[in-house]
Amino acid sequence: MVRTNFILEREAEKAAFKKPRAAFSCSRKDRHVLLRDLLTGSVWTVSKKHDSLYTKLSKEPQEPYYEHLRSKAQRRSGCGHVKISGHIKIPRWYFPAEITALREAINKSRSILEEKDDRDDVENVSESTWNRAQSFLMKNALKMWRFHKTCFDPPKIRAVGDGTIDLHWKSPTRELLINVPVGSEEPIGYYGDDRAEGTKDAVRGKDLESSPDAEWIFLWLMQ
Amino acid sequence: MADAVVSWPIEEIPPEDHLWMRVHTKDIEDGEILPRAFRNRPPKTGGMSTDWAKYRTAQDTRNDGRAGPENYAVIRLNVGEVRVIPDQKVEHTPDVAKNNRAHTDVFGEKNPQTRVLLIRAAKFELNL
Repeated sequence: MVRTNFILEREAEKAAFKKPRAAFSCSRKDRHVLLRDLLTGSVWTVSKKHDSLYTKLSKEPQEPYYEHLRSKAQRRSGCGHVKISGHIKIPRWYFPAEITALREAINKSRSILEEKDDRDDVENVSESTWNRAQSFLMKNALKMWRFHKTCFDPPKIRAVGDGTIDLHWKSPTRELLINVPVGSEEPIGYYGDDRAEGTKDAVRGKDLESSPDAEWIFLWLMQ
Repeated sequence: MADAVVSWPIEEIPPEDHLWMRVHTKDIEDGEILPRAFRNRPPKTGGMSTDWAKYRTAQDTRNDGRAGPENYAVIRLNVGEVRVIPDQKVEHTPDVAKNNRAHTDVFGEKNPQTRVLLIRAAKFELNL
């Protein structure tokens, strides 16, 4: 009985001297964020009536939060960003192994820009066309990884000779050819079929890039 | 005087006949033809150059390439099989300037579908 009371007293003591939970709670964090936002002016509001009584704080354009830490870490690890389009940057270390193989194939294909081709009447590939092709592949590969946890095999990436680029896949049963044209206005054309069935249930078209769910064609290829 | 040919008549090519086409070594990988081997020259207005087997041998077609015969294979295309491919027209277009009566163009856009189907229609006549 005495021992039980002693234990209860110890517990009560512990509870009394325990650090308040609020010090680490979410609500406290929220208050910190609110305070920071108030100081940097993003939610600073003053009623019009008392406007003249306050001096307005003008916010200098700043680097995004933690940007300096990110760049420092990159310098230290020697890791860069892979630029997919004008807006999206994915750190190289983030790629799963399946996408790394594709990325390597894309990097290797950059040689088509400097390729000296002795075939008849050949037009070289421009940097913008190659960028469009690699951006198309990477966007769809990342989407596939995000939503389906899988990725397609790297295609054969070849300069056609008229300035366009062919992306060609051959699986044991299916074949897919995507052509990235020269002008940015021209749509990306494609054709794919099951070789045993021929053109019967073929997939073909010219609107692959504008479609928000263009990864369907890669899911079809992998079936 | 006997060699001075002004022009040849344009003939209708029967579907059972064959066409020869040069394929550059760079357009063949692991023994397979790449889709890029099939293209029009000039791209928008021209056709794909071939030779009608009636007037030329496969070896003649190979010898005509700019890069030298050792850099080309020659494939055989059946005219009927080519005409079945959507939007493709086979027309006899003799080339007087190059003294080639066999010259034949395959007109029509060489989109991804056309090129995949042309690969399947092609057979190697003279391999590398």
